Amino acid sequence: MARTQRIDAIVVGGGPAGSAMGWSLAKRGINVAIVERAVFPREKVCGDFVEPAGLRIIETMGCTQALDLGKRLPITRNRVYYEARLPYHGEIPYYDGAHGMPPHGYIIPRDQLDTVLLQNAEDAGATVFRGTSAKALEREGGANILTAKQGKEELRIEAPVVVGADGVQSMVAKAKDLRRTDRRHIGASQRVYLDNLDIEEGEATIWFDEDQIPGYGWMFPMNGGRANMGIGLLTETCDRFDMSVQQCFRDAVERLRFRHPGCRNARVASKPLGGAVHMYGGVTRNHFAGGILVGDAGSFVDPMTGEGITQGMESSILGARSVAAALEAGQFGQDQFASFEHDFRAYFDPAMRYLVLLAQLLRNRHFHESVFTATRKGFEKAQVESSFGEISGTSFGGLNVQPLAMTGQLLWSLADHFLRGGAAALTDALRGRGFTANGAVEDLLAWQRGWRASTADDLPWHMSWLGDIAKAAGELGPSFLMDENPRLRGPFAFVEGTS
Amino acid sequence: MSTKTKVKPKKAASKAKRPAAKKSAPKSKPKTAKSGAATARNALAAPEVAVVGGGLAGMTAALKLLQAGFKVTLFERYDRLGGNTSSQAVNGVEHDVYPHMFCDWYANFWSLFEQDLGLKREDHFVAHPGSMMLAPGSDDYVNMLNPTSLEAVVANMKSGSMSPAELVLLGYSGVDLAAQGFDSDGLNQMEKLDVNGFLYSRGYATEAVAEMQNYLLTLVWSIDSAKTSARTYGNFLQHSLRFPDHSPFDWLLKNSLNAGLVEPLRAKLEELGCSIRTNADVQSVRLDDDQRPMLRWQADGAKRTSAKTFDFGVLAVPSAVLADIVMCRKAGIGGKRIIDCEPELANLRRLSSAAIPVLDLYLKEKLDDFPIDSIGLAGSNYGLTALDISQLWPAELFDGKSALIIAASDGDAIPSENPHEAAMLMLAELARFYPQFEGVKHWGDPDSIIDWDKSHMRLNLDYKLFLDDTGSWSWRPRASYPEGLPRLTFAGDLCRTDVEMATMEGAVQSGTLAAAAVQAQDAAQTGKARGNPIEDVPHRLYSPTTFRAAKLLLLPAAYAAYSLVALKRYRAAKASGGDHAGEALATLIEDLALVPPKAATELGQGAYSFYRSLVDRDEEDPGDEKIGLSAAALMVLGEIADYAASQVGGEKRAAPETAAGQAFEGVLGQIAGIAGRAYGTMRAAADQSCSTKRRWRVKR
Repeated sequence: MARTQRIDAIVVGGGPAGSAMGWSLAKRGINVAIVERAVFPREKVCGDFVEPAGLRIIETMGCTQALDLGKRLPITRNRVYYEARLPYHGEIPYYDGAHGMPPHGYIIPRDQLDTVLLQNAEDAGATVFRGTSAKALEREGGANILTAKQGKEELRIEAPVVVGADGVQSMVAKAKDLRRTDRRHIGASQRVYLDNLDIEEGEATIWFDEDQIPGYGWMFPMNGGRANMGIGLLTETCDRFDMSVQQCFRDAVERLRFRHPGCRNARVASKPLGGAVHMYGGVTRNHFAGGILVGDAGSFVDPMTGEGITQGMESSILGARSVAAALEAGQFGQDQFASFEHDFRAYFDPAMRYLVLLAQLLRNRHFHESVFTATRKGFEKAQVESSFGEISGTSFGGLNVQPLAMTGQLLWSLADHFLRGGAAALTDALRGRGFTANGAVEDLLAWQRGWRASTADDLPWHMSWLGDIAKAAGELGPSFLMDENPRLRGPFAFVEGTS
Repeated sequence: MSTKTKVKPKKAASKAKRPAAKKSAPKSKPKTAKSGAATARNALAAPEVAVVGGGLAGMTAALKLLQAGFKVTLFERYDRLGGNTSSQAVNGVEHDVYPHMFCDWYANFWSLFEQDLGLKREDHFVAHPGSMMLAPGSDDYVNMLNPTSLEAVVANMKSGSMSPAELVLLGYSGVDLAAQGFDSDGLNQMEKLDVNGFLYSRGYATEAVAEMQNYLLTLVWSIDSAKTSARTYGNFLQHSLRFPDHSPFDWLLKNSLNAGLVEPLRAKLEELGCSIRTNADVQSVRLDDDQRPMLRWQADGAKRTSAKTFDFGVLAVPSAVLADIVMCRKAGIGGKRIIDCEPELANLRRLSSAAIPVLDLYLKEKLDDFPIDSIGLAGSNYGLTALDISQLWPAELFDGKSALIIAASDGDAIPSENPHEAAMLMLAELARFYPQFEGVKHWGDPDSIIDWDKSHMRLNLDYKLFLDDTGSWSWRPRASYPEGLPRLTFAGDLCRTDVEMATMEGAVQSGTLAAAAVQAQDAAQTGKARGNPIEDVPHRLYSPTTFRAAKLLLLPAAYAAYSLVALKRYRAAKASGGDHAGEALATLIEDLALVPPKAATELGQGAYSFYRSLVDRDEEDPGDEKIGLSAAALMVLGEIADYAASQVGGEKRAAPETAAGQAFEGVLGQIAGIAGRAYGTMRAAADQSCSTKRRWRVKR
């Protein structure tokens, strides 16, 4: 029958967030066990892109060598397609190597990344139960009792603290009634590995298609003509417009072959896999009596890009402090873990709240024309104006998010565009040249078409969307008040600086 | 005791008849019936519910209860179901009790029609953007649109019904009333206020605005604005002020009420196994020791009354009948009176209602250019409205000829209680607007264009419309009184719902609430919920904060308009010459001098109540879904941008056609208009014609 083990903390899930949590706790001398359903290496639906901030954490955890990072292809450049247009092609403007981050990202397939990170946690002193699926979580007399199955054997682990790092379908979140189901903040993706590519060194490609808004596609190259390619879409939109992620994905593969010269002969080298992410816009309470939620289980995913590897590890490093504090105090009530809420809000809110607002603005598919044109023009502007790329470009994945500066840039660009266009049209009209079509007027009319379509299609939804925008805008306080995005210096510096 | 022994043989007799008459009745039915609800109640058997009153509220309650698995008997006094939404067949022609407006925001009604009956709104109803008015001796119909879009607002300004300044004031008075926070239980003495009194208390109100509000209330609810509860009408305005959602004013049924609404409902009820007893006059409802309703009714032609005790009862009858049932003045009947269990219901006797006489005029010819819309005959005695059903109902009923429904909303003004005499008086009044009807000498006069065989006049004394009197809110019955009356619930447009004004929506919602109350009581007694939870559909409306913000925003425009009206009055007096010019000037100076202090006071009060609602967080009407201020503001900004884009040459949205409107001297439109229109013309010359039309219908 079941044997019961008593330890300090259980981490459910051994992905990057779970491993980072296990490593952080073990380093603090805490008796921690990671329960992972799979036996690594295993495949995971992901873009595999680890941004500089993530690499900085990996380096701190000492996994650079094990991951052979030196031999991987550094991603420093980007290509952005809008349908067949190429509005941006060049260096990724905000990868500048500051704050101890490398000036590039890496593509590390998740089977390799997760294996190494989990091993690293084990090496640091964490107990790892591989191939063990958590079945039930109960709370008895102030302790968490996790029942798990390892093969046919039943396992009982008892610990005062449990950390849910078990992803979108989090069993821990479900047990604590914290599972998020709000489709406004859930992304769906599908990815595949391609080979037979001929890609310029270290150049990622992303693309937008007007029929796949809100969402985007990616192709992240690795050595040997291989790449991770996939698309992500908002599930709410898929539901409302009967969009099939699979169909969009198939279209995307075809379009990539057509639009990217280096992908003409691309071959699908793996089975396409689909998955989901919970984005930060839907974040709610992430702590409960006896533990916390981190990573995807806690909705720590960038609402604009869908990136979650780095954010997952960051949330764990922040959360480890709360776990350690609880163990030290011997208090495990919900209030005890509220310090995690405080920490992650202070750390993530400033940038994330702003990105949530942007994501909300882009959420209405009826405005596909306007959204498409506006973001395309943003990339075009970034191509010729490096400061625009450095500041406003961070809405697509940079760390140094500066909401005030970004808002200024965006509003100024919009005003400039419409005032110039309006003046030009007026001049034409006054000089008797009649009306000549002009970008600003056309853009205004495209917006109008979007507005009409949206209000006519589903007015209550439209109104609730406006309410969401207003709400997101109303939560911008921390964004506008911050001096510097705390994420810029990383979670370790944050924990150190605030302890 | 005596009632029970009498009951049994009667019941057996009636049961014996029923299965023969209705094939669809399942076999098990007589069995459960025989066991008797009151005598040997089996916990598993469905409780029996008596619904008294086969109007819209009663039918809704019956339907919802049947869906939840109750056994329902529906009692209707007349041979047809429908009550105030019924039609009578006279000489094979259907005559609706009176024409009804089905407003777009009737969420519960549309849910009943679309979800429960599974019918498509567009197949059975036509959307109308507004309503029309006609002045005597004029050919020009004035189209008043539902102000739910900027286009409609501008079109209304141009319509010529009132001067734009007066229209601004009329609109503002509506927003002001909607923004006024009345206490939620209607008990504050100071707030027992009528609409006219409310206007009187406002610094901006003018005589024309007061007259127009009175006219609108009389036309639609047969009630003077000096009698209408301001709070109740304010609540109606909160539901109907939906700018800028582009919703139409109302929908008109494309058939008689019986064919289009009652028959489908009846069919659905029968399909669900409802036992429907028409021509059954319920004479008394008393309560047994377990508070079960004991019904006593007389079937048509039956010599003796029948009686039966039900598990639950729903009373869905008009106020006068309800008061009689509740008071139950009959002596010699067993059981407790309802009033003894719930003394508050004595107030039912205070409720009032009015009859709306209606004349259906079938003609021998087709009237040309008659609009397909409800037409208010402005300035007519008896408050007449006209509606041409031949363009609305199936064409085969009319043989290419016209048929007008003439309703007298101010029926008590007709100096006759003889139907045909009253009809002649209404016809004479109608002739002031439509000379075709001049010189009709008597009912049946062959030298007229009227097809007398098909025409029909009724005074509708049995189909009175509930009046929303000042102060009536606290007298109106609730859906249920779980303490005193655990087995009895109430339905009908007179009941308290979050649609306060007497409407079909109120009827449907009250029916739903009554059914839900029965379900809740049953669950409380058996400890087990029966069927899916019965729930009403919440209305989406702006929050009080939003209305108060709108009021503050419009306040400067209102007082500017008020000044304009004063100036106009002065000009008119001066132009008419005579010796009153000096007096008029004095009045003007007075009026204008008072504008700043009045506006300042109202601004201060408005700002305070806005602040209060921000602080108190919109506490009212928990049953409604509120649209918050920020979403509303973004929505309005978006619509203004949309409108501006149209002026710059974008896709013009069809503002529903209006007749008049050349001399547009609008305060609002001119600013946005002139430059935009000039520009738009140029642009139109250059290119573009877009044909996508906006759908009227609002999805839920």
